Amino acid sequence: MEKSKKRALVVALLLPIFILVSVSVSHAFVNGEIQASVIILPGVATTCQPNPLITESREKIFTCYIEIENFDVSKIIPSTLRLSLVEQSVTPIQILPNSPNTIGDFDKDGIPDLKVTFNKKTVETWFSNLYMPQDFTFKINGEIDGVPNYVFTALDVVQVIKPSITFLDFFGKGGDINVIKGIDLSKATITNSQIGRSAKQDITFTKIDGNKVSLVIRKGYVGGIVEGMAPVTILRHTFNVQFKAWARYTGDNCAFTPSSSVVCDGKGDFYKRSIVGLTHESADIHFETDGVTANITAKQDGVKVFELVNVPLEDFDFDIKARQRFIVFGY
Amino acid sequence: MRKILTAIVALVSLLSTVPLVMPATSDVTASVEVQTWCSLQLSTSSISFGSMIPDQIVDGINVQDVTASQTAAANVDAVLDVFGNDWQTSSGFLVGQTHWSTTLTAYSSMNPLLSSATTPHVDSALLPTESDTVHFALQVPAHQAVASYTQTITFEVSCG
Repeated sequence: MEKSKKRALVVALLLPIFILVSVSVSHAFVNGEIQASVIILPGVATTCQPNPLITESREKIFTCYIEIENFDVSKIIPSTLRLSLVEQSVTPIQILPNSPNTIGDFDKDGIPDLKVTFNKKTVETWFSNLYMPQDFTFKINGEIDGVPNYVFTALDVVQVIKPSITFLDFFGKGGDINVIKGIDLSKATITNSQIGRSAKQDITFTKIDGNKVSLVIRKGYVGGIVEGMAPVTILRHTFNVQFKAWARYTGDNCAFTPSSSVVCDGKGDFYKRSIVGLTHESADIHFETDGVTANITAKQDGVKVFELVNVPLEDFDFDIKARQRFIVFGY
Repeated sequence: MRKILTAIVALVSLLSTVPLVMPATSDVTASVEVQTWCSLQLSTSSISFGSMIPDQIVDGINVQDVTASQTAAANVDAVLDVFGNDWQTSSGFLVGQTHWSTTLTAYSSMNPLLSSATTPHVDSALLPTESDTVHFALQVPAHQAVASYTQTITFEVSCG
């Protein structure tokens, strides 16, 4: 080793060397960006008529009005329109050959509508097994000129009713009932002298099974809407018809208080309104309750007309009365 | 640390060449800057919600996912935020129509995207090499005009 290097080594090793090391900390980071994209297509809405759609009625066409907000409704290609149902397996149908395909503001909402028509009789075939009035979501699919690869869907909820018979009962002794006539009896105005008040009742079904139906008994009233199928004989022909009825049990011979068990039988009057007019019939009524739920059975000549099973008894505040009367209304 | 050692070795080498005329003692200041480094890598540079109609929501299984990872070069935990700008076109719609979440949930339960980094964070301590997947959902406003729209979404890391 050369002398100079040796000296340097000695210096390095022996001499005190003060080294101040400073460390500073700084932050560095790398962010990231992405591009999000969306294509907004025309939103299409429709309103169809008649609503409710009553099958077997005289109308021959089912009309739908189609509108597109912020877009030219005339761009809809009528030949591509298909009417069908949501969540139902039906064959989609096209517009009628003489469909008007006219544009106007039919619903007066300031948005132009395209009016198209479909064959109502074909639509009705979708509901051959309809059991009771029911809401269906109708769907129209179609294409728009200038918007390639886009099949729009427009929806409308339509109530469909198959003509049948509605049973409506009312209560004679100590009170009467005034029912708002019409298809929907789910709300009725009741005037009852026993409790001296009127009320509109909201009815909730708990079970519908064939001609056995259940209903919730609302506070203050042992009764409610009853719906189901029941055999009805008209001119020696027996039909299973749809019925919908207000039902309530009243009678001095069947009085009980909440939580008491009762079994009793009585008579009820039926008024059937059908294609042969209003007819008067009677039925045997059997009522039994354990104080929690009730069963009500109505029979004609030993044949059960309908049965209410496991009807919950809620906070009613008057005695059960024996007399029942029923009226049958046709839709 | 490696940088510090390198600096010391370089200093010692330098001193070995110093003439003996230097003072018997000396102070030498060495400095080194150690950067805390957090770095982000995204799984994609774009997402698409496809075609929607006004008032429609894309969420659930149709959400758009972006995975944000701290790179291996990172040496510190990071706070990860996400924000964006309004949806752009001639008449766009608000940034907050986009919702995000690190868990798959309904649109209404997700966090509206904001225009700047703020709480909630995507991750308050994202470790190096770890990642977070962010789900994006979108609801198009009712009455929104037919058009194509874009939005820039920024993932930002702040070194802990």
